[in-house]
Amino acid sequence: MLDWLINLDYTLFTWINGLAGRNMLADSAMKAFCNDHLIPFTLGFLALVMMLKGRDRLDDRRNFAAVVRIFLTIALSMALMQLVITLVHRPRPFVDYPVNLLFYKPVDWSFPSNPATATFSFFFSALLSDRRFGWWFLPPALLMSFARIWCGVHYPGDVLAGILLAFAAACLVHRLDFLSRPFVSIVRNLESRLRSALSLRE
Amino acid sequence: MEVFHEDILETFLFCFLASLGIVQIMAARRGWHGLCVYGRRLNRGVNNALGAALLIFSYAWYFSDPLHRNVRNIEALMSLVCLLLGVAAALLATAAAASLSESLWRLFRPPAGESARTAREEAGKPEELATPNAKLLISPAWEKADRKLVILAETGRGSERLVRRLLPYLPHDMGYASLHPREEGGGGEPEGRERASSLLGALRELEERVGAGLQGADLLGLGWSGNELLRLREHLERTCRPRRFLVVAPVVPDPGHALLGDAFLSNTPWDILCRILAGKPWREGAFRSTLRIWIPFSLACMAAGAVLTSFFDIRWQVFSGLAGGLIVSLWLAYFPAARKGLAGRGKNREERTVPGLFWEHLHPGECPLEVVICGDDAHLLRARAAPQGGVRFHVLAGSLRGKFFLDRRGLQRLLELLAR
Repeated sequence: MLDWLINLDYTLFTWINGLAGRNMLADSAMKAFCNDHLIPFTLGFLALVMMLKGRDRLDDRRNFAAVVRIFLTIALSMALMQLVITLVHRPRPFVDYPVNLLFYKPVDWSFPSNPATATFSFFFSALLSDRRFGWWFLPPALLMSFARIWCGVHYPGDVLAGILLAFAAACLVHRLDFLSRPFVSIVRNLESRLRSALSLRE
Repeated sequence: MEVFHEDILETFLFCFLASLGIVQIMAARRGWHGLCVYGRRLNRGVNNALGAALLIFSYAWYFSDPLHRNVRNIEALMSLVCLLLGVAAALLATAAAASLSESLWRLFRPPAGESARTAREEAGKPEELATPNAKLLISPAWEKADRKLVILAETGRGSERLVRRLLPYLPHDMGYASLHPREEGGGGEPEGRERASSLLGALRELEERVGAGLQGADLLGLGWSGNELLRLREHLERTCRPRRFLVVAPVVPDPGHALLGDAFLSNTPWDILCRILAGKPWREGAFRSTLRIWIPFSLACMAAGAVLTSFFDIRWQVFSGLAGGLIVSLWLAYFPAARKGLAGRGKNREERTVPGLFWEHLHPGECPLEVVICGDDAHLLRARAAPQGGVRFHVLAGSLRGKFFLDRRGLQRLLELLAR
């Protein structure tokens, strides 16, 4: 079963990675999406937009709590990922096979995909808090994960594992309220203090 | 391990500039005049252009460097730290710029209607008196004046500045006295009962100083002191018998949602900070109790964090250990604090303040009551049925509480009201 899955994973990888090197425009776009900074920071800025986008203070409170949960989800998914990394040591595709490599050679293990875990943590957590705005996080997360396979640094299975980890972490953070409650309470009290400090000025 | 110091700085700058751009765009979208970095009123076009320019510049600048494209540099954790610090720095920079620019505007720009200044200034400056409860400003013509106005101002220098700007425009035949309560606790807040007795004390001191009662005077409450005036109305009707009560720009809460208002709409961050500090939050029992719970947790967690990160040779050993310990200590200390009712399920200060504020005091009394509402609170007045009879409402459309209260005909309309 495991061999069958690994073969399927490799087959999928060769299909996607095989597309690299055929079209310069597509390669350039995939290199950009694969970048360590472009999409993670863009998702971070989207979280800032989410925090400030409300129509009133009640909206703001919900959004602040959502952003707190996003960062908790990231922290939890990273912790879960480290746990998996200590148990599973899967080399990068370029170590075992000839690939179209469009990226620098990362030195850590391949499974699970670190960027997929992080970007999908943004997506799942945002979606569980805000069913409308949360979808804005999906295209960047998908693009980055797909680009990592295209550029030859991850197998599809790594990405899938990252997505599952992110989903599990988001569900845990949103289901186990006690994880986020202290931080949400602190943020809410701070918001209340700041925004109720009204004074009359010329 | 390699440390990419230059990259860390550039990544932080990138996050800072992009966040600054986003904050500008969102401030324009929300109408937060208090966070306007160039002072006075927000101009949506300017803010959006500024925000977009900052965003485009930050992305173009950062990703134009080949080192930031598909080259191994700073790791994920440091990127996250750069993002969080960049966002925090952008918020602080916006707060500082908004406060500074507004202070400069206040210093160098005369208020609207300056040309209509009356000859009042030649009549002499007000006499200043310090009493245990308040600072008093009394016009030289107080005793001879046919009409008298007693102004109850908010605490703080900003409020005093507002009153001093207002005084020269008052009608010639009007004697005035203005009371500026000492900065202790926040007026209108739970401690408001103490504040109310302090205001009563200040009124008594005024009566003693001027040697006459306040019968027949107009009592004007500004801002939070307007709320106090409403609270004291029945008592003052019995003791002072004023001609009328004028409550200008009181805090109008939204009781349905337990909200007092939104200071970001027009108060600068500096005004907000001053307002909070004037309440001396560190003297609150709840604050001290919370601190007593949190400090042992924070010390233990930070020490454990520093030891762990040093032992396992984690990047930025001591710093990351201390920071991690601090975050964990906040989480841990919350639960014992919540069990003692200090956090979480208990009502916060704002929620405790809202009941009994403003709406409950609007019933008709013996003396006429006129209430002037700022533009930012007008929707609350529309949302609730106004009480019948005895109370007259005026809305200063276009004026906001924390800024340009005297702009856009606000001063003119206030003077017309006072002249009646």
